[in-house]
Amino acid sequence: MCGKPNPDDLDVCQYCEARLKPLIGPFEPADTHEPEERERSSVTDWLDSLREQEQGELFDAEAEFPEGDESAEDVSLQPEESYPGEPAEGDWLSKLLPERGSGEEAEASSASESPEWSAEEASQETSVPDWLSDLGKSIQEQEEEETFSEAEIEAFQDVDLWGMGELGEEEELGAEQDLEIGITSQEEIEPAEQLPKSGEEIPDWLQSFVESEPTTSAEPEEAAESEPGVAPDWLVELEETAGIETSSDDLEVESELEKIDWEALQTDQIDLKAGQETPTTLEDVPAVAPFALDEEEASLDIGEMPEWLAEADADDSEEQETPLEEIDASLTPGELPGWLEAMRPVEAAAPTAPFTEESDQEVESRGPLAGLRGVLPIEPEITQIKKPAAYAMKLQISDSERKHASLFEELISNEGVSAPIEKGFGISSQNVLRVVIFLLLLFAVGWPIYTGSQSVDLPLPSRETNQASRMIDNVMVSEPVLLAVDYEPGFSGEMDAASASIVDHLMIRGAYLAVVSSTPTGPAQAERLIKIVNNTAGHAYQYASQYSNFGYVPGGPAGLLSFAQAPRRVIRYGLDGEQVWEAAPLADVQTLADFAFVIVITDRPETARVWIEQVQPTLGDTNMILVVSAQAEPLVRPYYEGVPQQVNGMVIGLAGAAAYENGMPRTLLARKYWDAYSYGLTLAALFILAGSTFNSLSRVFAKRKNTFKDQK
Amino acid sequence: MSLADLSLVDMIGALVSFGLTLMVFSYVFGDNVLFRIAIHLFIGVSAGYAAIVTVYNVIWPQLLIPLVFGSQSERLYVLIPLVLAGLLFFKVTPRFSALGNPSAAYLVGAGMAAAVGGAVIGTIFPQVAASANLFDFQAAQQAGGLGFFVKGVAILLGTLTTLIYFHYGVQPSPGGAVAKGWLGPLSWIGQMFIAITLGAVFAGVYSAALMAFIERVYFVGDILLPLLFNP
Repeated sequence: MCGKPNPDDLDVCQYCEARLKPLIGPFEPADTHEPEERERSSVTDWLDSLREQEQGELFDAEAEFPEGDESAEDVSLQPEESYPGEPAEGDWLSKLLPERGSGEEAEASSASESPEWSAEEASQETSVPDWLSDLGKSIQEQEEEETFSEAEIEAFQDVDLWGMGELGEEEELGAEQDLEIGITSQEEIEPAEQLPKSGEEIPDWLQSFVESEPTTSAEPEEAAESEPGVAPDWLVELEETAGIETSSDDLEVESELEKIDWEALQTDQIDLKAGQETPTTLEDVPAVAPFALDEEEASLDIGEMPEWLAEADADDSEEQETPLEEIDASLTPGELPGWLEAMRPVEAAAPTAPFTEESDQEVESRGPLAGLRGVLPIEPEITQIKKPAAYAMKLQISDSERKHASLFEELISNEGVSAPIEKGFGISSQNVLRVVIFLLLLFAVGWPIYTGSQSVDLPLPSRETNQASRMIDNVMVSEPVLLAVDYEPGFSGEMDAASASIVDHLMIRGAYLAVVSSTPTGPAQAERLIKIVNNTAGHAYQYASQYSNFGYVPGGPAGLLSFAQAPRRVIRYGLDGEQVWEAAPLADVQTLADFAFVIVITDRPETARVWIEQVQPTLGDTNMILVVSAQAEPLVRPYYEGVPQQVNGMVIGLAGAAAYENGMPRTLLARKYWDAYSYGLTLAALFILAGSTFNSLSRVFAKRKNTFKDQK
Repeated sequence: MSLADLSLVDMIGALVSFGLTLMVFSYVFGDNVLFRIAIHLFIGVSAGYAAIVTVYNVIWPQLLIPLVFGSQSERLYVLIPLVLAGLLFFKVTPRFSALGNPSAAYLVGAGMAAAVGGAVIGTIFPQVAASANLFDFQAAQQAGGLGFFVKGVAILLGTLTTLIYFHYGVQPSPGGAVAKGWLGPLSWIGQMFIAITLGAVFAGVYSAALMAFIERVYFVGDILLPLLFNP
């Protein structure tokens, strides 16, 4: 206190007998742990700065404020109100604020008036007044600026600013713990260093204050039942912001605070600054381990916990007392819906890797990884037996994808299901029109049949027909001609009529017919054709002697190619099982080029194209004639029109057959059908024309109707 | 032809054919049981007949006879198709269907090779050459003069414009991708060629169907008219 130099070994000033060494043992400066503690604690920066300012206030108040200033008095007490609150450290505690607003203590608190600066601080927790921010100097600066004498320090230490003077050990530990929660810097720790140890002399006025302090947090229920005290308004407001329930002891504290000789306290604080001597360094203050619990702390009386905390603890204890088996038995196995189970992550179903203790892991002794544990596996991973990963069996697809899949599945499934037969024949315009067209066609076709009319002239032979006729005219007797009959029974009406005149012409010329087919029904159709021509034209062609049926050549294009390259190897026996190649006309035939020409009778353009592609290149100078259906003409005509020609003659449909018969000395089926065909074709053209006209007129009328509607 | 001129077997066949023809004609009144019976009967008879033809015309003469009565070389020759054909039977069961894959692969491979080779040699090359030869002026003068050349131009124009019609390429523009301007009219010309071709095909299909109808009406008339007017 006197400021005179003393030897280092003295504990008490030799001049004024002021204490030179602090009672609290040295502690580690908080600056060294400041960053680490800032990370571990959840205290925000604004709270730290506020604390710094508050702590700075504690030491600068006497320097900044004149004597008797109420602000200085309030600032000196501010750490007491600020540390229990810590609203930023726990929202759970701030939730208790509304409860605190009701009750008698709230009314008592509101009854007293608080200073304006305190009210502002309560309303704005994060905002610090300018005058207070100016006080936020660092503690190092304060240490440099302020030098206290030992007497001043002792007097300052005697001031139990936190009311911890005679706290019991438990309460003291609790207070220390509360302090340590908010300590993040050396500046915050310093006020705690100033706390006197229990048992030391405390002024009476503070002694009474301290006696009431420990019960503040220990018996909140009693505080609720006690009468409202006469605590200063600023303290009430601070408590409201801090979220602490006011107890009866609080009220007692407040009443005691009323009795404090604030002027005397202010004088003591100013005396502390007046010495201008460097106080005892912080290294001499015994360190307080943050968050450290010793045996005394462990022996805290749990029964004095608040009611809400006791209930929570009781609930936890009840839950813990319930046996795990009972819980498992009482729980019914969950049945997840399909969509939820499909969403379950695979990791949830996959077995987890077994836990490996760290002690089992090997410590690397060499190399750059020396000293690290468990970096490299002891044994290769392939030796570790693992269960295969579980994959979800259901596809995780969207609703649109599921709809598309179901639609596609429905389309496929309907392929094998026959459509149901419509019940009855409803009278509709479409059905009526269908019957009318059928009757008209039947009349147009049936009338020439009934009358036997052959009034319609046959068409003149076309160029392709003439070429075919000329080639057949050049056939000598018993010269082998390959006749491919490749049409389906459904087209026999057209194809029989189209080919009858050619077969008749061949029979007239006495050609040896070698009949072959690349369709299974072809051989039967060939037999039927020869039979029809025999019956119609009066021939008596005999099997084997005048014609032979090679039968069916399987394999499609490959079979035809094989047949074209080696006909004797592919076809050995005829339709009746005879040796077809033993017939005299075929004795000299080794390849298809040895035939006089090849005639292909087919109703499909694909079949005609296969014959042209596979067989025609092997024919050499042998000509090929096509007798095709009218529907195949557009696709096979280019083979005839090309230069050089791949097809040397064609007879197309009934029209081609009629033209061919027109050049023959006698007529057969084409002439028979030609009138009916002409009438039917004309009627069909009229139908198409009428339908097109009606459709066009209906569109025109519909457009006009819409135009009139738009104009109206 | 009348029923009286036919033998008993032919008469039965003619009556069955007459009944089936009427059953098919009943489709004019909509889908019905008679029509479906006739269609199913036709499909079944065709399949059965094809199977019989295959056995008697292919398997027996080309496989079994050489295997039983043939020489040693013939037996060895037919042994390969016999094994491959036997493997195809495993396609019946899904469990052993994989055993039939070699046979199926051989069939598909050989078929496709023959089809592609035939198309190239028998259609593409000859048709390209034929189209080019239409512009041989010496040949044109010999074949028909100007008409020959006009036909060549028409074929060339139809070929090119039809290919252009199936060209879906676009070019970028500020307003978005649009078709090239000069492709539009040519594509329309190609569309006309395609329409004419499809019209010709439709006419041929109708002509073939009409011819089948006429043949059946004649058949019904040959059966009914003698019964109605000359009992």
